[in-house]
Amino acid sequence: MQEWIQLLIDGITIGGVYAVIALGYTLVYGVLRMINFAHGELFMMGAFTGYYTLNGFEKHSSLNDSVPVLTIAIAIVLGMVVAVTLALVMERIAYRPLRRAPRLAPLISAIGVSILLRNIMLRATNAQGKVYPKVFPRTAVEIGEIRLLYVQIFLIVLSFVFLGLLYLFIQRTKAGVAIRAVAEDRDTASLMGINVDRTIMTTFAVGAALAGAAGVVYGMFVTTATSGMGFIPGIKAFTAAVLGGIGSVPGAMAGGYFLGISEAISTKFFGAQYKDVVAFVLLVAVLIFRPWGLFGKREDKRA
Amino acid sequence: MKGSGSLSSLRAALDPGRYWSRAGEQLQTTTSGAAVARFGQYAVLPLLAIAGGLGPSYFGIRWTFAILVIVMYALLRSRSGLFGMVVLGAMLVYLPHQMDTFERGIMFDIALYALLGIGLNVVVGYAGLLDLGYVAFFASGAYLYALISAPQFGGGFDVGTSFWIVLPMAMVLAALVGIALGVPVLRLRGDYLAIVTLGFGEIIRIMINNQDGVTNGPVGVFAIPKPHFGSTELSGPVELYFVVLAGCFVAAFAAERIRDSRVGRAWEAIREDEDVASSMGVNTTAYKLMAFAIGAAIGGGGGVIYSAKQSAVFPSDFNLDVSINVLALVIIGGMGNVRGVILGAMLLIGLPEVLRDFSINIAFIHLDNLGADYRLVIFGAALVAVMILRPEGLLPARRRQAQFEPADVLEPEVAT
Repeated sequence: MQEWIQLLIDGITIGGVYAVIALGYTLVYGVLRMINFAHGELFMMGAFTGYYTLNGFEKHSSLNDSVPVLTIAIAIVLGMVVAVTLALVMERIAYRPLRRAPRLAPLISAIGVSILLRNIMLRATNAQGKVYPKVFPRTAVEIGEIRLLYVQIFLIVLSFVFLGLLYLFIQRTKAGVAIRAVAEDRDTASLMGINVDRTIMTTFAVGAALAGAAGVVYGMFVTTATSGMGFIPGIKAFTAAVLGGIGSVPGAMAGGYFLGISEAISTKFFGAQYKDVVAFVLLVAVLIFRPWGLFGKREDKRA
Repeated sequence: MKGSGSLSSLRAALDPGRYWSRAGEQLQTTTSGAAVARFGQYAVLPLLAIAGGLGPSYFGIRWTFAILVIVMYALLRSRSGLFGMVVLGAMLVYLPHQMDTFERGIMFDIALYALLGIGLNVVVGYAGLLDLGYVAFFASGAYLYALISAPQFGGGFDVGTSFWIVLPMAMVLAALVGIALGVPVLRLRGDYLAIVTLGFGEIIRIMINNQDGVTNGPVGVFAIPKPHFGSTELSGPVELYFVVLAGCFVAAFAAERIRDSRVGRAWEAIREDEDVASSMGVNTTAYKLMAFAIGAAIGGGGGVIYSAKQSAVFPSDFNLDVSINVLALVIIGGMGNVRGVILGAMLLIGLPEVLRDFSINIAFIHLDNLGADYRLVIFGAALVAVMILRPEGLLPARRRQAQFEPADVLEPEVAT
């Protein structure tokens, strides 16, 4: 029983990361019908920003020890700022000129941005992973045989907070309504006086902010930042978005947790090396039997 | 409105004659196109003489390569047909004799990726099915040859002849793998298909990595024998380069013939609008599976040659980057056009290698080993740049190029 609870907790931990990244995919896909392949790299850039910030505090002050809450908050905010800036630049340069181009063009462009960012960081770090300074105590809370790292608790809580905030943003604010309107029908939304360009930028910015923040927190959790770290979580998060029905915000959240928990439980049966296979098999199965996603609305046809 | 649009595009697809002549007229009236074509015909021979005769020993690989690319572009762009192809062939056969081992290795890689590109082009360019897991077929071919012929698994096969037997076997196996992938994903379109095929490629790699008993896992398979041709062992990069080159020509010829056949027209109809195609009586299931199978078979054949060249294969050779590179060269070269694929392979695979020891020292900017250290940075930026400047690719298929022309040029045709 306790083993199951442990697996569940591990699944919720990683699932929260998937869910937060998946939102960026699902939002951008919603408004542009495009897979932003570089989204995972925003997550990676967030993790590096987190490292450089926390490492700076570690080297030049003792703030990491005295007020860790402050330094972590600054790291997360900076991670978001960097990711948002990058996302806006890439939207402007690499995606906007291609909005009316054939569908493959923005996809290839996004792959290009992804390769570019990954290799810039590879050069900038000389292919060395960056190890985060110790901000959280590396001890665990133990309840019976269940182990919970402090950073894990932080990650779980924070992903819930972000998901809640995003849900409110999409449902309650004017910008959120605009995003939903553009996702529904871009041309009609534009006729209704919605500034489509600005809405698309908002969408990128919101998705990037979540990815950047997730990057910082995930970096603290795994304690290292590497240039390749965004790729697999990026693909998994996309899988999560598809599982939940792409374009659907609650779907992406549910899909993230569902994928995380499925992966964690699968390690018990097949071993850790097959968890990527489990994720992809799940994806294929869902696409074949429920192409509109586990939690999405059925539509007659998807492009 | 939308319905009639798809219908007209389908009609255009099923009636190539009218469409072709129009696209052809347009191409000729495009001044740059005509100029390049003319340039191609007059400039080819002297440039060829320079590139081939004086050769790398005189110019160094970088300039030779630049000349080669220009000549290729002119030849591929001009419609000199047979003449261009003969010159091209002669050049590709002659040049490697002038090169050192490293440069021959580059030529081999270019030819291998061109072969893979020709295969993927059948799936993506002709049938319009976006496949991000093409490496799976490449891997299945490579591992089939490795496992059958390498001594560490007992072997017992006559290595002298096994290559030529395994090659068709691998193509059949890859085609079956292609169909096995194709069946479950038949209903998926566009981006969904891309992500599922991507997952499929990763699954194959992870399986190879973890099935230690069968594939020797991450340790890899070693001492894979070289093929023999008669009694000659094809051991060096040049000999195997010729094998790939022959493969390229056969594959390119076959692919172009199939494209111009009934099958090719069916693919085109599916690519333009699957629903309309199916309602017009095109058996979309069969033709889509055929595209997967043919593309996969070419990839599998490429894998066998790769395995023979490398002498050792590891699961890490078959990661997602291979699929992305092949897709990128197909799209940058010009989707749906074998000539574009060849140009794409030269630029994407050849250029970064040639620039390996290239350095920039201007004022305060000092970038050493630009090619070696920054080539992937440049590669990423180039992908974005080409997509923005020429989303149809450098050498688009003529019919595709016509699609990028203003719509009103083609619309009147529908009205008649």
